[in-house]
Amino acid sequence: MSRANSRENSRENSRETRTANDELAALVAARQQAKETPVAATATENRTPCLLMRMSDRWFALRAESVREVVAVDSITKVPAQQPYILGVMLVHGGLVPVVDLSLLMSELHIEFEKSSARRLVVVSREGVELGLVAEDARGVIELPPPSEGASEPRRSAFILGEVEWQEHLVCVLDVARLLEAALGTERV
Amino acid sequence: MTTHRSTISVLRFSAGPLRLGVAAEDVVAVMAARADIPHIARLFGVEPGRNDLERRTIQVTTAAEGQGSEPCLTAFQADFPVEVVRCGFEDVLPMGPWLECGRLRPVMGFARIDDETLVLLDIPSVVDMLQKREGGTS
Repeated sequence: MSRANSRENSRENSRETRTANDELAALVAARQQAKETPVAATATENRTPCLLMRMSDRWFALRAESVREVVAVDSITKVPAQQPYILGVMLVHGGLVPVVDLSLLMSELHIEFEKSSARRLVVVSREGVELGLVAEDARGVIELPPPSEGASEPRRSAFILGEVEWQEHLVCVLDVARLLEAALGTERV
Repeated sequence: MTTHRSTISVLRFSAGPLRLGVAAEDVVAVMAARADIPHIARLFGVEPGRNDLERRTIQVTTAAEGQGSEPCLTAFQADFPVEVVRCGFEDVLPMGPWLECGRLRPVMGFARIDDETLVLLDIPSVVDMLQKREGGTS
């Protein structure tokens, strides 16, 4: 009995005087728990495959599932009586695609771009409606976390979902459905 | 079942940076440029070609709208080269939903002729635009 009391007293004492070993054990346990927690798994699952494209010094992300293809910019045929941001139409694999300059579309929001020369056409598609976005550069599919509400663009349009950081760049994440609506007025189709 | 011709003549011309075409059979005359006739480039908000000597006046007609009414004759200036080309069924480019829904008026479609994409114009829509343009000058 007295031996049992002695052991109990010893435990009480060790609880009071937490050793470095206990601290380390607690750290290991906490780390293990964090690894197994479902919250961490959800954060990974929320990453979305996106295609990145650059216009001037600005990067944009489009959900990979909305991107049909990326082709070199060829001859763009100007179409009369269109909005200034519609550069015209381009023949892509035998079909015509309206070509939009994001910098001109966004200039209506007073977002300024440096002058640039587009070399790529990123063709996005939704419910059969296609649109080509001219870009200086396009990168392969990259998994991005959910965008945060961008505070830097107070006049941002509905087609800008938010911003994420990627390799020290601030990437503007675009909503393709709303972009088509803004550029082509697809809600009236 | 709707039938269509296998080929149709198109009058191809320029309007500044635009390459345009209209149904050649609805063209009444191609004449020397006249300063009192509006340039079609300005109708579309672009600058005409710089060389006045390379301009032509194109006179077009639209069908009479009802019994007893006269066909409408209208003219516009266009830039060189002005020429008739043949446009076959295969030359007409398929259009996506956006291009089909009439939003592009007066554009009726596009054709690929001689490695060049032409914008095909709907003549009644062009005539309508010209008539609505008040006090227009070349």
